[in-house]
Amino acid sequence: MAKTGQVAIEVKDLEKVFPVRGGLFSGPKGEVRAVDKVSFQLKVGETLALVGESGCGKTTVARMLAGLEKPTGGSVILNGQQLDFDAKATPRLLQETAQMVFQDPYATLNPRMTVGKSVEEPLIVRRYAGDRRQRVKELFAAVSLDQEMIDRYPHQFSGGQRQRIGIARALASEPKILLCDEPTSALDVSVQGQVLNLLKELQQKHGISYLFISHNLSVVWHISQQVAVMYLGKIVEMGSREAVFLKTAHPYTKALLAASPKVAPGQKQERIVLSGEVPSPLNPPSGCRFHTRCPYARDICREREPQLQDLDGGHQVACHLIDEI
Amino acid sequence: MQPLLEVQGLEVSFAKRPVLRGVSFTVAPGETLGIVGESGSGKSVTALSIMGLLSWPGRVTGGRVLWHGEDVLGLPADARRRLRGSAMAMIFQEPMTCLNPVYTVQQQISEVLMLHRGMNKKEAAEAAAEYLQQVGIADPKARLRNYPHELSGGMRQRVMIAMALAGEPELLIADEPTTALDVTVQAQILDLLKRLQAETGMAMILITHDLGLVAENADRGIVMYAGEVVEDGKVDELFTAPAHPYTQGLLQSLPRWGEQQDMLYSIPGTVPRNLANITGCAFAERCPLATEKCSEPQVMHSISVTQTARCWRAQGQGGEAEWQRQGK
Repeated sequence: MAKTGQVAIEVKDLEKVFPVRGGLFSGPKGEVRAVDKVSFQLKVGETLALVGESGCGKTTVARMLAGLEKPTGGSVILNGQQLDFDAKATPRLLQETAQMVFQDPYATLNPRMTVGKSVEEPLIVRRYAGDRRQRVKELFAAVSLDQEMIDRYPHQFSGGQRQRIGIARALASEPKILLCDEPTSALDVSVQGQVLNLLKELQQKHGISYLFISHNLSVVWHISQQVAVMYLGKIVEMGSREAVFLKTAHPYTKALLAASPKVAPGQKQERIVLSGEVPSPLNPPSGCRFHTRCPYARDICREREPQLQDLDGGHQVACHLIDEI
Repeated sequence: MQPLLEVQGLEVSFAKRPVLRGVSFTVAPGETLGIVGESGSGKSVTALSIMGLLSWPGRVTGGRVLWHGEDVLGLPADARRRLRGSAMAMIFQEPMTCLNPVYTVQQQISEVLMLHRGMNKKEAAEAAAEYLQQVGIADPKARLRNYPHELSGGMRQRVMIAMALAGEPELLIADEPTTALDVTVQAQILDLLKRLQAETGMAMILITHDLGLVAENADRGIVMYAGEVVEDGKVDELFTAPAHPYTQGLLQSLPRWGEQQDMLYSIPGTVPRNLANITGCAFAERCPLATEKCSEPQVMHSISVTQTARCWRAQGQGGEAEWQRQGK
């Protein structure tokens, strides 16, 4: 087993461009850069959170790492080897390494299959040699579900239980990485804690790495060690959770933090309310992509695109005005 | 001062299954009341019952809804329709459930103005543009000609708010108004609602599952569980000194950034699905403090002048709540 601190997976300048078709003959009309030169390292036994609003490309990053989407540029380095995106075996290799946990487990469980069968499927796919039913029981135990329940159907479970089934199914392939796409967004507060605790426990026990996608910053703080903030396909700020949350440098991160509701009446803080909405990725703004909504934007922000620069100890920010604000 | 809205012991059943089991609260003029609760606790059904929008098989089986002291539940359908839109208006989580996809924005806002305010078509078109401006939509004249599908999520939400405002309501019920939106847009919409409230003096009921939204935006809050109000109080009281074990559990189970928490608290068990056979405290089976006394019916007890909780442990200071004594 790989040791904590080693790199589980690394991506360099990862890109995904979707062609946009339209018009009379569905000819190419343009392209959407859903993910634009994204680089990060995910370490063994660590959690990296991807944060951002809808359309920022965070889910596309996860889908590429799950082998569900083929990158159009950049590289993915797994076990010290660069993956060949064109090779037939690559999606399979990624799927053996990384598994996805989806937001709505009800939509990803077959309603006509018992949950035990759903969890068993990955075992069949990878030609598991042992007793499959026994293994399913072990997986149910690992996510603290009653083993008696394996012959029931998805509709007989509550939301929190279904999410645990989703996690059990992801674990069946014994992945090194779990790609969690908003795993608690569909859950009520009182059960959200159960799922987050389970994820933490599994990580401590098995040293699994998580790429954790969420828009809920309190949840991100709770679960992750590293945080990357994305805006329109690019990472604008990245670093340890303390750096990003407490020594926030990018105006967008500041606005996100200010906009997320906090349970502390009385200490209502001044908040930066951004005007407008996220621009269309079909036609992203020139220069810094955030300049159309940034309260500090200057001429240079409209003209030149800022690059990620190191502040200290791995805290990276892409902003021209970093010394001024 | 007479409350604007007073709900007394409201009971609603779907077919023969009880969904609301005696919900009572008041809303004062100009006040923002937050209703929090998990899915299935009865928040939206409460709102729909107040509006008179409950549809089959849902039926009000008991209680009263007093609007300026007058019971509206017994009013004939056309009288309720006149109230709806002019006296009270509602906005929803998903604007597309409220906007008609085959009419332009102008037609939909004008309809409210012509119906409730007696404007003619031309006046209504001009007023509609003003309302769009008021909710922060740039270039309102052009947007009036748009169909709902041509607008972004945040814009649709604004159009729906403009429609609700067009009737000049005294009470706006917002049912999860920002749940489908991104956080930065959510902040914009809530700021907008606050500004409009300050300008018009309308009262608001903010229904949400997000405790943070209530903490930041409401004056008072009620916590619902299994078709009942379990706690009612000023926002400061609810969040700094919650009295009901359910409220306490909810607050404890929230992750908070900036704090070091290794494992999160979570309330064991799940929300009861069938409310028909509950006689005692509905939360007892999940409550860490439950004793035999919890199987008896629970009433609201005063903790302070403004805070009440449905738990016998809260009995200490005030005894039964004021409104319950009056009701007997």
